[in-house]
Amino acid sequence: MQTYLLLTLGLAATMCCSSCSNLGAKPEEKTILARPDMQVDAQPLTSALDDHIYFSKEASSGGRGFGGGGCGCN
Amino acid sequence: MNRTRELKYRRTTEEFVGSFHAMASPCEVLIQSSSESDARKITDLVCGEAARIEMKYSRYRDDNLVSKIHQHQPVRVDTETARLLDFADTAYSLSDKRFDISSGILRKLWSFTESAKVPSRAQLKLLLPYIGWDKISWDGAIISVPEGMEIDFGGFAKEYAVDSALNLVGSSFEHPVLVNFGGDLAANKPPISRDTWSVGVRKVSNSSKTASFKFKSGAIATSGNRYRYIYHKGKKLSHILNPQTGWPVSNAPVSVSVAMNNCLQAGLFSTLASLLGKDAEQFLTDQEVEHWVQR
Amino acid sequence: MKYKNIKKAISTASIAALGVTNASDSIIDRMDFNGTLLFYSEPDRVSAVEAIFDSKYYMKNNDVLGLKITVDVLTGASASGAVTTDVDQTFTTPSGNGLYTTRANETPLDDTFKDTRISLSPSWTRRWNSNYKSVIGATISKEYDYLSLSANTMLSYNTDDNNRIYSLGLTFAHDTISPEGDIPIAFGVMQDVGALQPRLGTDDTRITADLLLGITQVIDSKSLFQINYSASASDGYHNDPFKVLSVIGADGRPVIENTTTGLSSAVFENRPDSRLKQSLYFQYKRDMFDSHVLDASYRFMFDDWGVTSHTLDVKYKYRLNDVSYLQPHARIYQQSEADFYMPFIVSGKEPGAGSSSSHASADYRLGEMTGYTIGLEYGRDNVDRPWSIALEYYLQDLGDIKGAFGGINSKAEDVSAVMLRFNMDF
Repeated sequence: MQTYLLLTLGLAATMCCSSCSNLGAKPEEKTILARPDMQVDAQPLTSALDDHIYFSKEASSGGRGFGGGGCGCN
Repeated sequence: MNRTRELKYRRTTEEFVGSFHAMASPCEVLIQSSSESDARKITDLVCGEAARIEMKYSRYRDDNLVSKIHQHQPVRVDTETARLLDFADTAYSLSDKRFDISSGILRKLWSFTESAKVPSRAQLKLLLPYIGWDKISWDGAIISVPEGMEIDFGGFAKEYAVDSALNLVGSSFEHPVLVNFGGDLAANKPPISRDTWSVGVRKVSNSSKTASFKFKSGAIATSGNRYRYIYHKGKKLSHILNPQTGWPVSNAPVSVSVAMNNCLQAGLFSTLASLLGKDAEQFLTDQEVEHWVQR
Repeated sequence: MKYKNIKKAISTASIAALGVTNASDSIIDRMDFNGTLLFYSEPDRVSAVEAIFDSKYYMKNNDVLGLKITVDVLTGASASGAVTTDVDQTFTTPSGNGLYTTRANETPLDDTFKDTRISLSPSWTRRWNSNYKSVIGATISKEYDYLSLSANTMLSYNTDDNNRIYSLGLTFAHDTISPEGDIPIAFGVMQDVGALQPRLGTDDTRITADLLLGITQVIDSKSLFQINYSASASDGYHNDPFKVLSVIGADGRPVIENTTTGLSSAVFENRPDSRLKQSLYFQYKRDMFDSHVLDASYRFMFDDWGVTSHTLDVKYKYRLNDVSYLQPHARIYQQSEADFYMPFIVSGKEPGAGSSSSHASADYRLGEMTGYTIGLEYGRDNVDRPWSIALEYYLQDLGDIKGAFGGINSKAEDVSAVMLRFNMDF
């Protein structure tokens, strides 16, 4: 059931994205978005550490990218 | 090397743009790369090269080669300077003495500021004997500038810096890069994301059209006097001075842009065309070079 | 009048003036290095030091080769899964070679835990054109009792207007565990030191396949969001070989297995041999006042073990000046317990040793939990060598021990940790 729920959510999100064609910025408006700290994963090593810690301390992992794993800590 | 210069970066959708100020001009480097790190390294390289050439050939310093030459003793120069002097020599003879790196002292009489006064014929007459590349001894290795004379690399140092910086980038990187020093620019190869680089030439007056050069690689140099002129007897005088008369060129175009393989020669042709005044277009057409003249 | 054509002569002169550029003039260092060092400490429990060293080599053709090296060292103790009671308890260490006693009202910790992990992750990134980018990577991670091999690939498509990126990622991993003292038999009873422990073999394996679908969308000139759907399916050995469940007698205290040694009765856990995790991840980033950055994310995860979790993570990068910033961080994590989570087994109800169809685990990480993290980072960026330092506090508030009776403590002890992290670009 939850699988379907998630897929529906995902599809809805995708369709929402496609329909909102007014989202976005023109090339000359991207000075701020080009800043290193405005990147989606601005601190990749910090993310990697966080993912590893929480992977080994909690029942959940991943989501952001391919987080956690690769160790025998869980 | 360029720690004191402020480097700025921004990213457009297609490229990184590094900018800084050098050679009395705003300078930009457009880098088509996915790596910001590379973009920064390339900008550093370009900025460093601009700073090096500026320092080496500036006439405003008392610690460089130019100041040594101006002590009026024979000076043995390095190979880079020798190549540039050879170029100046060739340009002088091919241009019927119009392109003259010894004409810089005219600025002692001409200053193109608002309050500037036009020098008298008498003043010019006293100065003209100290102008003329043929009075300077240059044998390919040693230069000797007579007392009272000066040489000035300013007529092509910026264009040379564009080419030199681009060569330097090309020896380490393969990214498409466009270097633009205050309107003198060159690109090593076509951009990735589109067919051509596109460079707009700013519209000067309502009568002239806005031009846009599209080019895959090569250089464009522009000489102009958009902001630098004085009024004399109701006439706008160009800052382009004829070294033979010491007087501003009449009917000089507002700007002359020339597209060629490298910035050094493009710059020379745009300067020569400007010096020819009303004949600028004719001259460039006869040279079979791509050009855009605004009047 | 026609002007003499001097194009060729000038051209030749200009080429001579520019000289010959020698490719060996290149003096450019074309590598990037980033490093991070983390000190993690749970008072009385685990201490860890983890270092990541990331190097990137930018090739002339625009490809990027990366190598990430991770080293971590863990020492200390972790909760074994046995209950906390009002009596002293004695257990055998996983190796079967030693015993340890846990005082009354203390959480049983297995303190023989020490491990060093080294992990290498090479990667190759290529931008094919302005739209497509691919990353191919691998990871080999080795620790004393664990080997993990994985390969991953990520393909992303950047729309022409550069306002949206679609990503597709796949990872396959093969893990081998060969624990100290071998693989316990499910629900096998822990035996005295020197006695034959219930063991099945020296190692076991698990394979995992991960899928990630993502969309990153620019909202306007100051903000963007990302939505990821990810699924992770794994098959094979999922147990923690060191985790046990206490077997509780009618008095609400662990059954004593051996009255001479005082060994408490505990059986080894058994989890299902497959797991399917799915998650939806939303991230929102916004520039505030042209200098600060708000970074908020929410993750909803669930799996076929019955675990559902919510994670909310917020960071605010507060720029102090052009080159330095303060970044407070808060994270709240809440999970429900796995279907087979149970804090203990009542004597007589324990499945028989080797009963692979029954599942039970008292690992607190599979129970109800709320985690809180607060932290503060100070960093300098926009300088030649950016660096940052962060201090974080992490608290795990565990659910009550359901069905606790007799001497069993009904409240599970909180787990807290302090983390100190340094980041540096070389």
